Amino acid sequence: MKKVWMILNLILFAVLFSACSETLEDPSDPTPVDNTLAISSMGTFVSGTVSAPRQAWESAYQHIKDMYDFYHKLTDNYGGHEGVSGIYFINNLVNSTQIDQTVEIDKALYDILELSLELQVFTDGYFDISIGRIVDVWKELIDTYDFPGQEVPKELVDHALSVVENIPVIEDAVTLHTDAGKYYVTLKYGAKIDLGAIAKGYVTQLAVDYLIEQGFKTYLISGGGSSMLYGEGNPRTADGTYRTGLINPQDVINNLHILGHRPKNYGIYTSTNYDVATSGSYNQFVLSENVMYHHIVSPKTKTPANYYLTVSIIGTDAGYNDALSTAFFNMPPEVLASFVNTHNLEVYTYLFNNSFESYNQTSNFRAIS
Amino acid sequence: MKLKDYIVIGAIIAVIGVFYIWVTYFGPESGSIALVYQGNDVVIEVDFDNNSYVVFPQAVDPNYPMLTDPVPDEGGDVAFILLGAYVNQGERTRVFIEISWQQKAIRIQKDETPRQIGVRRNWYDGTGLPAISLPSQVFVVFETPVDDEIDGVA
Repeated sequence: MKKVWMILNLILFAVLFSACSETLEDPSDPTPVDNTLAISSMGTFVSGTVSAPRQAWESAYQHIKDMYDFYHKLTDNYGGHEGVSGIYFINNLVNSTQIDQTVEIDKALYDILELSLELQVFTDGYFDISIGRIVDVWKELIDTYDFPGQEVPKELVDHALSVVENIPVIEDAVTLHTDAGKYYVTLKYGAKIDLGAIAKGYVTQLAVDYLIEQGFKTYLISGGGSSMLYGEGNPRTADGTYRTGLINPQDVINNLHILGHRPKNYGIYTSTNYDVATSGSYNQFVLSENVMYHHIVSPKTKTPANYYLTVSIIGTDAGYNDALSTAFFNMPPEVLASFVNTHNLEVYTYLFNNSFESYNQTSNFRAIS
Repeated sequence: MKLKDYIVIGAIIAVIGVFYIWVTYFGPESGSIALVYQGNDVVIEVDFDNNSYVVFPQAVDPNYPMLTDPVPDEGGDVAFILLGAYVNQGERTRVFIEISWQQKAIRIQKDETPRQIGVRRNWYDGTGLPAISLPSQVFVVFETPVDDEIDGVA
C-alpha cells in the first residue's frame, strides 16, 4: 500500500506543479494569439483586438501606430507640426493672409480631401468639410460647459446664432489639382477645413486594409467610439460573427446624472466583415429652451441638426461611413429616406420620441424591446 | 503490488487525467487583464485573477505612477496617480486611478482637466462605454472583456 501512496503522491505533485508552469511564449511561434491594439491619436482613442502571430503583430502594430501619427499630423486642426503642410497650416495661411491660397500637399492628404469632396457632391452638400469656422462657433459654446446636458442662457445661443449668420458657406471653397506629379489644394478665404467627421474613420479603414493585407482577418477595432470595425472568426461566437450594440441615446440622456451608467442598447447587429458608424448628439450637447446644441452642424442651416439623436450606418468602409453618418444626421427624414433607398444603404436612426426607424433593415439586426 | 492496487492507481490516474483535460481545455477562460494606458504606453497592468498589478514608470517622470490612498468607502482597494497629457500652467496635470478587486473594475477617480468625462464613467469592468480621459490621454482597456453578448457598441 505504501507504494500506492507514493505513486499517488507523485501523480498529485505532477498535476499540482503543472499548474504552476508558466507558458513562455516563443515570439517566433506562428500560432495566432489575441493582441491588444490601443492607440492614442487624432484626439481619440483607438482600441481593439487582433488575432495574429506575436512576432508578425509587433511590426504590424508599429506600422499602424506610425500610420495614425502620420495622418494626425496631416489632418490636425488644432496645432501645426514642423515641416508638415497639413490642415492647420493651410487654414492658418489663408486666415493670416486673408486671401485664397494654393498649397502643395502630400498625396495622402490629397486622397482624403478628394474623398471628402466626392462625398460632398454625393450627399448634395449635407457633408461639407469647409464649414470649420461655423463648427468652431458651436463647439466653443458646448466646450464652455463641463457636463453634457447643461442648460445654457438664451443670450449665449442667440450670440452664437448671430455669429454664424455672418459666416458664409462658401461655394467650391476647397479645390484640388495635380501638376507634374505634385498635389495641390486651394482654399478660399473665409472657409476653414475641418476633417473631424471623416479622418478617424478614414485612417481606421486604412489600418484595417493593412491588417487584411497582412493576412490578419480576425479583428475588432473601435475607431474612437463612433465607429466599430470587425473581421471574421470571432472566438467568442460559434459562427465567428461579431455583435454590435446600438446604443439607446435616450437612455444615456435620461441617466446623465448617474455616474458610470451603462446605457441600454436598442438593437444588436450581428455579422462578419463589416463596420458600424454612428453619429449622435447625445454625448456632447448643451440645452437651451429644450433645444439641443451640439457639434454636428448642418451646412444647410449652419445650426446643429436635431432630426435624430443618433444615425448609424452599416457598411464596409469606415471612412466613407463616418462621413455619411454625419451627412445623414443633417438630412431631414424625407431626404434621408429618399437618399438611402436610392442607394440601398442600411441605416438605423434613433428618434426623439424614444423609438427607432430602420431603412433597408436586414436579418442581421435584432431589436431589443 | 497487488492487482487491486493497480486498479486503484489506474482509476485515480484516469479521474485526474479527465479532470486535468477538462480544466485545461474546457474550463473557464483565464481571467481579466486590464491595461491602463497613458498615451501609447501601458503604465499599469492589473490582473484581476490574482488581485495583482504591475507598474511601468512613465517616461516623462519615472516617479509615476505613484501609489496613493483610495477614496474611503467607495470600493477602491488600490490607487495610483499618473501624469496625464493635459498641461495646466506649464505642468502636466495628475490623473487618479483606482482599482476595485471585488468589482474587478477600474475607474478614473479624478483628473485635473476641465470636462471630467472619464471621471463620470466611474467603475469600468470592460463592458459598455470605455473609461477614457481624452485630454489626459488616459485609457483603460480590458484584454478579456466580460461577455454580455456584444463585442462592441456604436
